[in-house]
Amino acid sequence: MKPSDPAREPDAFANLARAMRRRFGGAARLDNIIVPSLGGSNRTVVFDLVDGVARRRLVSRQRTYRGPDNPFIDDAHQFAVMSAAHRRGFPVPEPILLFDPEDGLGEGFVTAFVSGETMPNRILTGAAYDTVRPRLAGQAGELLALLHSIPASEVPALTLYPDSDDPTEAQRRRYDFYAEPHPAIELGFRWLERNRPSRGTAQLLHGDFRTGNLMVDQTGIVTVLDWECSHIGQPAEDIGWLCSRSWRFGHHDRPVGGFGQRHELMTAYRGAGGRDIQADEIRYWEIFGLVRWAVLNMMQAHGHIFGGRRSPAFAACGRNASVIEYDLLMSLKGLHQ
Amino acid sequence: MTQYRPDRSELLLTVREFLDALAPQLDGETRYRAQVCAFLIGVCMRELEAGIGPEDADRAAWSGLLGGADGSAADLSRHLCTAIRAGDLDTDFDHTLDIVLARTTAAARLVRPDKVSPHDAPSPSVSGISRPPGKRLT
Repeated sequence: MKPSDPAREPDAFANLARAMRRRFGGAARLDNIIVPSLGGSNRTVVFDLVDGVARRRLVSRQRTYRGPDNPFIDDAHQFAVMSAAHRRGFPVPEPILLFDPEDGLGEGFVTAFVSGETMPNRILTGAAYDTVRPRLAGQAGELLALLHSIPASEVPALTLYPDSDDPTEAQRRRYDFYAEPHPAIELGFRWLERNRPSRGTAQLLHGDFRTGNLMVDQTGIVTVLDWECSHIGQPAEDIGWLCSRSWRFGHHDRPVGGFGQRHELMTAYRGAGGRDIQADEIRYWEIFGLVRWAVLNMMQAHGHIFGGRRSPAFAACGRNASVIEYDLLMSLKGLHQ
Repeated sequence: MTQYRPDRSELLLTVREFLDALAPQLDGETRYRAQVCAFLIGVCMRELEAGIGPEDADRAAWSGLLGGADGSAADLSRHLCTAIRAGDLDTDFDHTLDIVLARTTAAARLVRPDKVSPHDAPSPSVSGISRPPGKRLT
């Protein structure tokens, strides 16, 4: 990420500085401020909070995307899920504070800064990760088992989201919002409807647990980022998403995130207390993942065309939906594994 | 089409060449955006080369699945989606899948020819369906 405008508390960060002083006292100040390249739905600011001789690197995330098709949970609920995970020892950036209206910063929160690598190509092909890569699938299985052991009742607000009720129907409502008929996606939805696995106990899910959101260093996965799609659901949904073709970044011989094998993931998952999940159910959620990812790409294109979120990458997402649909239909035919 | 050269495809190629040369001189997010823009120009070039063939093939494919219904490709696509959702094509799901896959393959190949390799693309052996362009376009 390329820093832009490193600065010492210029006006653009006055509200953030004031928010810090409200919590940490009038002597607190910001230093070494960086605004990394923008994500699609957040404004991120990385900074040092300095109080006397104490200095701590923190990250502020402010929501920038609001819309009726918004698939992301409220920041307060993200903060609550991350706090629940952090209490259980799950590797998540330590939640520090949630913005309130008096901060004048909109929705958002501050966490501890964690360093590591998230770029898929570097993790999946870089020589620096050759020794750690074979361990990632097992570690991912252990982490998912830990996450899925957290009682869903710890974040009751998540039950309010449509993804917690019926994830397929939630995707379809978003898809319908774009009023752009795609026969391939309709076939995906129809297949999902007709092949629903029986429901077990719903658990707390990350909702976007995949390569790109797993921060890795020489010891393995150090932190799991981006909790904005967290909801309550079947544990196999998280597992299928991680195994979905889109997150292999071309390394289809390693179906788990482009770094490992399904049996490695599931052996570790069961060994750490996770439910025994059959291959058919994982495949179901891999198919679901492709449908969901196609709809999310439509969302980005819609935001580009109608939502004022102009970006070449979002424009490309609209056309990229065809490639995801190709993967979806090839998978339904059994030609892609 | 204008009588003046460069024509539309040549103009797009000119822009893409410039973006390809520019990108390595840029950093981070700006570089990435320039690369994506070069990619988008490539999509436009491939679509121009394909002409109206894909849309005609879509219309023929959707019409065939809808029992010979008439209409534009967009209208027929909408009707097809309604029929799939209503379960009207459940008994012929595999056949429908083959037809839609053939057309999706053609569409995906225009966007990412590198992602749709010739050996794993399905062969649309169904009457009324144009074979996706076999020529590898880049």
